[in-house]
Amino acid sequence: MEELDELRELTLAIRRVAEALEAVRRRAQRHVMDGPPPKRQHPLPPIEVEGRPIELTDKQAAALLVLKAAGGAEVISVIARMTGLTSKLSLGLAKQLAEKGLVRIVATPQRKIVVLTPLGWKVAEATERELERRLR
Amino acid sequence: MHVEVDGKRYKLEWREAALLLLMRLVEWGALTLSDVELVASGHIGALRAVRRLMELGLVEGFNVRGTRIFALTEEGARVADAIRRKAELAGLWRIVEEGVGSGGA
Repeated sequence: MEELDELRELTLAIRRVAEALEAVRRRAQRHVMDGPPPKRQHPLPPIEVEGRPIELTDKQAAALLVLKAAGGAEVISVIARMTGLTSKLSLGLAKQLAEKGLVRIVATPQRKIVVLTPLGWKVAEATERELERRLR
Repeated sequence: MHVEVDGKRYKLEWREAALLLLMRLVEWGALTLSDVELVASGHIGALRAVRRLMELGLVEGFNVRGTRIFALTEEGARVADAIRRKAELAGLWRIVEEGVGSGGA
């Protein structure tokens, strides 16, 4: 009896997955999941974090500061607005930061969130300190 | 249904199992609440299902400026794979394959 119940539950789950997968993929067709990085980026002097130099550009540093100010996570459209980029370009920028291990991108075709990693948080703090030092 | 992964036994309701599988199958590895509602038949059911999966440590939830996204944890991915193996053994996986054609299921 228990085995029959298990099979019934599994069948219900599989049927619903088949229906939903098609619908979710159809929704995705109208949205982008990729973007090129911004072209004009100016390299900043390397920042040392955890004993290794981290090289950032001005726009990458700006995105990290936006994320830190937001508490560690922000939607891509706000990062775009705060850094003066389009959503597509800011997605490309976030991918550059993800390749450096500084952020994680949690995204569906419709919604995209960028989250600072622990290393990203430290780099953002170091970037902020460096910026304050230079402005003094 | 019961799923055992790395010596740990999970008791999941069919909607919860379906959510784990869907998150595993979509190429981008995450779902919005609206996607979850497709599986869980409505807003309340969706919230209840993702909350339980988060309590079990199988799903991570991100909520920023009203944007909610849910993604599998590593353990969640292992449980989803175990459910898929169960479905394959029972001859049920073809329902997914036939449903989405050659879409990568």
